[in-house]
Amino acid sequence: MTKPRKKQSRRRGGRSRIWRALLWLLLIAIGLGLVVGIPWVWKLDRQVTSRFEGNRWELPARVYARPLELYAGLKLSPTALRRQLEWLHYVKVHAVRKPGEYSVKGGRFDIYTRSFNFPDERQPAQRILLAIRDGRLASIKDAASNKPLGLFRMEPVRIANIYPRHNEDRVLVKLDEVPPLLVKALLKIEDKAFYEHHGVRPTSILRAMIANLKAGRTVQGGSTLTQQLVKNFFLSNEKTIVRKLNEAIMALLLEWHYDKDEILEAYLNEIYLGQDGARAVHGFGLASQFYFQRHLSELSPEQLLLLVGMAKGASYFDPRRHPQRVRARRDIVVQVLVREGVLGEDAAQILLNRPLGVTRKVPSSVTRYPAFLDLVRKQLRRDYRDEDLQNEGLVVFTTLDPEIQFQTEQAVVNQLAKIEKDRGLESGILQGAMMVASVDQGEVLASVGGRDPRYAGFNRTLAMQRPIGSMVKPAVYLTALAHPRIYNLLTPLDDSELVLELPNGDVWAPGNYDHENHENVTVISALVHSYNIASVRLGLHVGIDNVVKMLRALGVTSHINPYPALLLGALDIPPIEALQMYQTIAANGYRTPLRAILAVVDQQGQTLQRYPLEVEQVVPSEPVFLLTTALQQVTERGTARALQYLLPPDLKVAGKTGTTNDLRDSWFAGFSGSHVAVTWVGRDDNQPTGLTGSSGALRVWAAAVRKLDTTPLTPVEPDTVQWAMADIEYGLLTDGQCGEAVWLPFLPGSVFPGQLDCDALYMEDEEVFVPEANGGSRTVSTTDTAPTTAKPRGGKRTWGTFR
Amino acid sequence: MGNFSLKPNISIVWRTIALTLLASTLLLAGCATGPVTTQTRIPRPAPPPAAPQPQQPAMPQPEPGVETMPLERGEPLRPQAMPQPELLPPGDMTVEDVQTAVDVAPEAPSDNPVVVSLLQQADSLAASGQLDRAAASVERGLRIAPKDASLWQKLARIRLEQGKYHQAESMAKKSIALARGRPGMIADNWKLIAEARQARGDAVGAQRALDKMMQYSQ
Repeated sequence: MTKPRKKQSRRRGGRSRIWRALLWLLLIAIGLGLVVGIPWVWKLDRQVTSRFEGNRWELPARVYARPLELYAGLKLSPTALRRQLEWLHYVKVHAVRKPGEYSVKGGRFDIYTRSFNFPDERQPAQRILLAIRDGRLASIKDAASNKPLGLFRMEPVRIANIYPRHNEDRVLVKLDEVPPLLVKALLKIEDKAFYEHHGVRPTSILRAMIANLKAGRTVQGGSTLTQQLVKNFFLSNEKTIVRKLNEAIMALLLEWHYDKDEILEAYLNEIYLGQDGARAVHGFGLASQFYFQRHLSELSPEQLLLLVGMAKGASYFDPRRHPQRVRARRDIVVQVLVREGVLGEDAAQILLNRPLGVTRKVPSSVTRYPAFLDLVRKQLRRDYRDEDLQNEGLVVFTTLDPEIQFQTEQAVVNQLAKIEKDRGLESGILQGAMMVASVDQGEVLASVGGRDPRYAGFNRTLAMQRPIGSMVKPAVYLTALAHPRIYNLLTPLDDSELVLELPNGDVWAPGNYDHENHENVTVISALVHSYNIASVRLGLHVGIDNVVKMLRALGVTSHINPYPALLLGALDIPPIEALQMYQTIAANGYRTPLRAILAVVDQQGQTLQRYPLEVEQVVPSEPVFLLTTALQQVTERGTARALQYLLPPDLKVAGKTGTTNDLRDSWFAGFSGSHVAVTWVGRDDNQPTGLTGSSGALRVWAAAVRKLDTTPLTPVEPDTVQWAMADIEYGLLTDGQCGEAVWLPFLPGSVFPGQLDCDALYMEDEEVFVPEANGGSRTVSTTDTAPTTAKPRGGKRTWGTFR
Repeated sequence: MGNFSLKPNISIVWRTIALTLLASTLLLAGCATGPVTTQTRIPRPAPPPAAPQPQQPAMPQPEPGVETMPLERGEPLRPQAMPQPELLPPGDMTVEDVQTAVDVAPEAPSDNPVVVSLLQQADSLAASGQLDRAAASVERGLRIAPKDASLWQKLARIRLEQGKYHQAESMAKKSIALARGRPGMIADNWKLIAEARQARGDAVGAQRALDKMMQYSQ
């Protein structure tokens, strides 16, 4: 151990006793100093080295969205690409010179991408040229070689940081990555003799003391960089002699243990450079992002010098709060550099004329996507302790698609406001939630937990459990269709009045939404129009226990009450479980657990954990195919037929509405060929909204799905399927000569209904004569194909022969 | 109400009656091998116009007039016979006798150049034993073309290599469903399923899968 302060000159005492006494006193003092000082210095040494060594800094976990994959043919608008670049904090310039810059002319983009460490490979910075035409990426080329690129990954958008307990944040930089100008200027300004001294410079301390005494206050600091580093390690503004002494000793100790470059690098990462709410901004790496939204290596000279100037005191020189003061400080730095010969006069003049260039403060300490991050944290907690997440600098790659998230947020925010306005509801009374996932991979692409998507409060996608109403019915019908010899899409169901006596003695009489009973409906028409009584009968038929089993297979994990009311949606689940349920249906019975995380990588770039794609076939594909056909009809002629004008005509989708008692909850779940999404609209106080699934949630769903780059629904047809043309309202086969013919799939063993008798249907003047079941009659125009009016009550059926 | 109604507790009775009556007066559906028997003017169960069409590649096809670039200029894409030889586990299968039947008629794995390049990447990663990274490449491809049968098959192959036999079978089945009209690929998938079942110790199941494979290998 060194004992730097303990060396005292020993002189032989004089002859006089006074001298002798003084000598003794001195020796005692030195002795005491050694007895107290050695342990003291020992303690300081342990403190300062342990801080410097090993786990020197707690690093937050960084969370990234999925990268944008660019390839010719990709659906991409210039607006969407610019949004992406904005989220990545790329700067729009006239001529692209360095990473993080782009220029755009018409649909032509010139982008200098930054390097990025993906879990599978390091991607170097690269200049690429993109051409967008007619809403698609027409070409993508490497700018240097002018050769086309098959597939290019943009760096992913960072969506969150999970901070350490002490709320310190850093972006570590290595000394050789730091722009030389910054280092040079820093040494000139803060510590000219850094490479000569041993940690402290008594002369400059003395000079500072004299200057301070003259002025009567602190005007000059005599601290070396090493002393400043120590001061930052144990942040305290105490200005006592003991404190100063400790700092000096620790500075000497640091210099004794480590070389100059190590100390300098530590300084660059440790220096306090600002405050973002509760989060302290440490080091030049993070300061660069915090003030300029750019990497340190991308900063211009005057921006680097501004940061150097701030090292003197970041709270006093806060460029956002005191731009004038900081500008003056920056200019002093420039002038010092001119005096020291680092900068020429001309170059300095250019820098002096430049603005500060500090960006508007972005809320970087809170995530923009709290609902999604909630899910990420939940899934991370299965594998990691909270402290690892907060300290180890883990990098988390997630499935979030920022563009889809953006469109989903827009849909929730705008449509809820529109619904309130159109219906004269109190503004702000409605709440909503929506999630989007990919069908085949179960990757959660977007999650909106409320109508203020930035608000990290109650997350309705995970924490809210509400009854799903008719959205449960597909599970009932799927259970039935899994028995093709008993049920097919045209199997007749009874929708007449039903009174059930429950085991507890209560009587339950479910009603239809339109308060009508529809006799002799078919499986498909009952689902398409969401008839309650027919659905209850069907559910009782197949067995409530079997419906519960089906719900479990589809992915519902919440508690299920196996009572008849379940068949109408007395099932309280959060939107994410509804999403899982419909994912399984959308993927032909292959359940894929919904994922928000793809991989977790450590600081060194080693992959710690992958979350691989897993699929499990939980329902045979054949009945799912039949169900999907019916759910597609729901969107064409059933309760969700509004989609016919809310979506582009070629975008085929399938789905189901859900509405609960007294119109408290409005749900819609549906899927295209590649995306599945669930929407809920209601009130937090669970009061009626006056909205059905169709007039509420469906509008939000459609507004989001309309904006997706998605593929129309083209269900995979099982080999065994046979097709027949039928009129689903009559429940009879048809040759297309009359009625409304739809091709329907049937499985082997199906019992077919009879043939629609066109001759009996056709009357003069294009009128159709439809005998009512009760003997009455009414006429329906054949040109009127609206499903509700064209629906006869018990038309002329061939199977009437065995009534 | 004059029409018959379906009561929950008489389903079996109803079914019996219905079957009997329908057999004489109405239609009766055939079994898996037979076509729908029709009494009057029932259309043939041929693929109807309104029926779902075969799977489109998920990647949007560039529209006419849009400049498109091949993956690598001057480097024609090489269709690869699937599965890759180096991905086959050595010697844990007893299908040498049928091996030749499978390898006939190589089909292009995909008509999507992006998919082809990611498949190649996955192959070389798998060949060097980096199965996790190979799987990540395939998953990357699935994000772009989720209905591509060759990607699902490749993932099944990787899962098999990793000893995840149930996952291998599930993914091979997904690939089969997406590979309609591509007997070579379907046969390869059944072979893969047979390997997975064999590895799990399900010899009977493996044999059934091999029988299926033979159906598609002719």
